[in-house]
Amino acid sequence: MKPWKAIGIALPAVALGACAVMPAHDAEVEDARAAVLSAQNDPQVVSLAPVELNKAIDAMRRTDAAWSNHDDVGEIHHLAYLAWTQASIATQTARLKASEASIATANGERDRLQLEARTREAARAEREAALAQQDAARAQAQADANRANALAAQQRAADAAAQAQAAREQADAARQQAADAQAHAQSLQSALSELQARPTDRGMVVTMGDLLFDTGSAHLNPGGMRVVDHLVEFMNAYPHRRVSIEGFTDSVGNPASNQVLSERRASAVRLALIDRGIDPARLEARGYGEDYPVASNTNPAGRQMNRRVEIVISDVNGVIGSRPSAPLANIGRGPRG
Amino acid sequence: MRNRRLEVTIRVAIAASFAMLAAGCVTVAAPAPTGKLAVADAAIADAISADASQYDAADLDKARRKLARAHDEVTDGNYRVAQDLAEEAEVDARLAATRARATKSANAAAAVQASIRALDDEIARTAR
Repeated sequence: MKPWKAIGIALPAVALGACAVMPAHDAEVEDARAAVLSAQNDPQVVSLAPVELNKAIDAMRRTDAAWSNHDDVGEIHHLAYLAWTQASIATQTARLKASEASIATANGERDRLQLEARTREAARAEREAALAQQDAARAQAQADANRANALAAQQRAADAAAQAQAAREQADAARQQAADAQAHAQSLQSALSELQARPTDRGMVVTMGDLLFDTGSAHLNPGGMRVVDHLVEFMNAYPHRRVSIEGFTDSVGNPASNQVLSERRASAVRLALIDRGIDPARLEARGYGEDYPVASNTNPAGRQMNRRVEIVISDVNGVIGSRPSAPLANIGRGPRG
Repeated sequence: MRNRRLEVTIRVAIAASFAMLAAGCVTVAAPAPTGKLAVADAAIADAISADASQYDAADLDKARRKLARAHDEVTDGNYRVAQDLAEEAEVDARLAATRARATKSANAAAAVQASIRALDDEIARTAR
């Protein structure tokens, strides 16, 4: 170097000459300068790759210095190459930093979006869960309603069954009542037949014949008492029924004494019934004397039939048919003996 | 005695001359650019690790060829040329590494942007 420099200093003219000979603008130097300038004018390179840019600028400065020094062209081109390449490195470094920054930003953005997506997903899941819950509640309510309906139907069926049962029981009861009524009627019938009752227009009538009383007296003999006992039995069994006790005689003797005898015989029967616990309110007694004969008084058999006590039995309501107002006074009535 | 002193003087002068010559020689000849070669070598290794063979094979090849030539020039004793080649190989390798990294980074950025678009779409879909 030193010898070369010495010559340069010693022979400035030669140096000037060389300068003039060399082109004012070397293409490679200018390419490098353009590259460095382009990098310098790129704000992204200035801000993101200042170190590499400075190296490029420094390399360019050394190139220019070499140029000014009229250094060897090969050396100048070498320095220009370094400057150009360094400018490229600065540009690529800036590109690298920019995309790194954009990745960082984008990662942040992506994280934000992922969070948002997760948040939305969670919200949607929550909504869906709420909907599912509503569905479940609806289904539950439906099931409850169905159960209630089933219960109601069951209840209705049970009610219907109970009604049917009640109807059956009612029918049974009615049948029983009918049977009872029939039994009652039958027992009434049998009691009355025991008393040798006979049906008449006024109702059933029991006739106590003359033989049931002591002769010419109102005193009931044991046979009469048996009839009274039967009557008591009957009246106890049918408490709504009342009786009318009516005494009669034949036409023999004094009509007035006959009237008295008929009254006493009727009264004797009444008292016998009262004596055996029958309510007096259920009993009527009167005498008709010689009236209403049932047979002729002209022979002993007919007269015996006329000496009697008739017991007229009321209907179930206690009503006794009245005796026809015009007494059949003289049926078969013979001349007074 | 005089002769002897002269002789010593001459000897010293000769020795000094040799020494000066030797010194001069050292000063004039550039040392082998061992450091520059190592730096270029490291830069190439870095470029390879940055996948420059995939993203900027041209610059990487340039760097390799220049480094190989630099070694040749060292062998030939052309240290000055070897140093220049080593320097150029270094910047070529650095450019290759930087360009490879920048390209990969740009690709990654594009991928992230794509994933953002996909997310955007998904959010727009789920928002309905």
